[in-house]
Amino acid sequence: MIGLFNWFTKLTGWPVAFFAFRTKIYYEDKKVQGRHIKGPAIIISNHTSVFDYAVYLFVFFTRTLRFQMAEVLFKKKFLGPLLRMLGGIYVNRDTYDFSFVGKSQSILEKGGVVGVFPESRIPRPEEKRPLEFKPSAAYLAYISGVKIVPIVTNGSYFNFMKRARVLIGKPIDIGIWWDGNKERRENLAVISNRLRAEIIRLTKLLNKKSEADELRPPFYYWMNNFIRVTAALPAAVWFRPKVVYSCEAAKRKYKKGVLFFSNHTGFGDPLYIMTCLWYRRIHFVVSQEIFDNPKMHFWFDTAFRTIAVDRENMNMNSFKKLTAFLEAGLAVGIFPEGHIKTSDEQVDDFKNGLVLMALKGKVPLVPIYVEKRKHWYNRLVMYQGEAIDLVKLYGNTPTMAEIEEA
Amino acid sequence: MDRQEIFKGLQEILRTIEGHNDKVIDSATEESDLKSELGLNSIGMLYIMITIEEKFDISFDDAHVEDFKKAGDVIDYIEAHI
Repeated sequence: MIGLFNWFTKLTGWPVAFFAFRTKIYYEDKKVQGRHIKGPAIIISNHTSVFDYAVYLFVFFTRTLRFQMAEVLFKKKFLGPLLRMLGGIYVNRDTYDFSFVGKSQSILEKGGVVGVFPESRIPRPEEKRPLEFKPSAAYLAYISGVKIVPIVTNGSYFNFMKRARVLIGKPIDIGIWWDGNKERRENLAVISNRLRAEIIRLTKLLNKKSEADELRPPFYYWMNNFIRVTAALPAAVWFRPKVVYSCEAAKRKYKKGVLFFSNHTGFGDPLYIMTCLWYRRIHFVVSQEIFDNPKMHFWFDTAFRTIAVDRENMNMNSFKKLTAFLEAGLAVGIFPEGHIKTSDEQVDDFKNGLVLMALKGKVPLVPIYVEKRKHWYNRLVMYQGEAIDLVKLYGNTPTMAEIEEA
Repeated sequence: MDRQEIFKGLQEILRTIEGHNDKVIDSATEESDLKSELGLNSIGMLYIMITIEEKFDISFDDAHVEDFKKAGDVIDYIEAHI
């Protein structure tokens, strides 16, 4: 009956879940553990929201999940009976009633899948996540001999701009961590800590895997393409762009991550560069003051997805975002002089942060020189140099002296 | 990991990144000024922060380079986040 009700819920609830969660699933190793769990298993997960269970219901669509759930949920008028019908395992955290262990064990013996949130509750905002793990999952694995499948979620539900992301880890046999010289209680405490460490490791892996996807917000490409396509013809007619290459090797078109750096003669420079390098979508680095300007924010953030940087007091988040763009294979444009140069010809000393960005993003640096147009009817001329591969020149860990030299 | 070990780790990072200045790094204390005594500019500080993240497995997410004036400030941050 529970299995039948689960199927009914999944089939009828799927369209709602599809829009409410838009779950994206990642795997540590899909060949070892995919969405279909074979045989009995214990699922453990970090706990971010009351909807974690609902998300997992659809992630592991082919199996009936029997999650251990707190007593408070069963007291709810509508939710309580629903969870009972879905096969939720009642856990009363206020008493010494351990019947949920026996019930979980009997489900596993029948080949079922039991889910546990070892933190036992949702952490409060000020608490460090994940909370310390209770030993129930480790104990259940010990008495049943069943493997544990660790999963993590980013907890982003009902969020139109940010998808729910779930990572499925490789199954763990706790037998490999069992120390025969230790007491059972001690072993369970150690294994619970190791399971917690595993969830922390998988959370980092999920963040890493989803980093590139997070850079592409919904509708961004549609809007950006629309602007580029509609602006391309007027820009081509007005500027009549001409690109002069320093040598044959400079004619290369860059399809992967690249950092273009240019002199800065005016506010129109990004537009000029985008017109000349029409084949790439370039994310420019802009100063924090311009980015935060309410009138310009839509254009800089949503339409062109620029990267805001406080040049005087660099924030690590900005730097990480920039290197994440580069590592994800995107093109970034930067004006390293740090300000608009009003007088002609002479280029200021470039700030050496640029070198660090290229090294950490593992991308080539491409020099660009935009010639200032003296009259509106002059052609736009841009000079493009050969790419500089800093990793080849200085290795992965250059000294500060080498960075300054570069 | 205690403060002493963190400080030694920080000195190792400084040696790798600075490449020279061994004497200055060896004689550094928690009170040493990162800019005037250890000669780090803002990019050097950024580089140190990136290397610390890799070595100590911590994250400087909301930190600005100017948040750290002395070597002790960096050790405080690492100790609180380790």
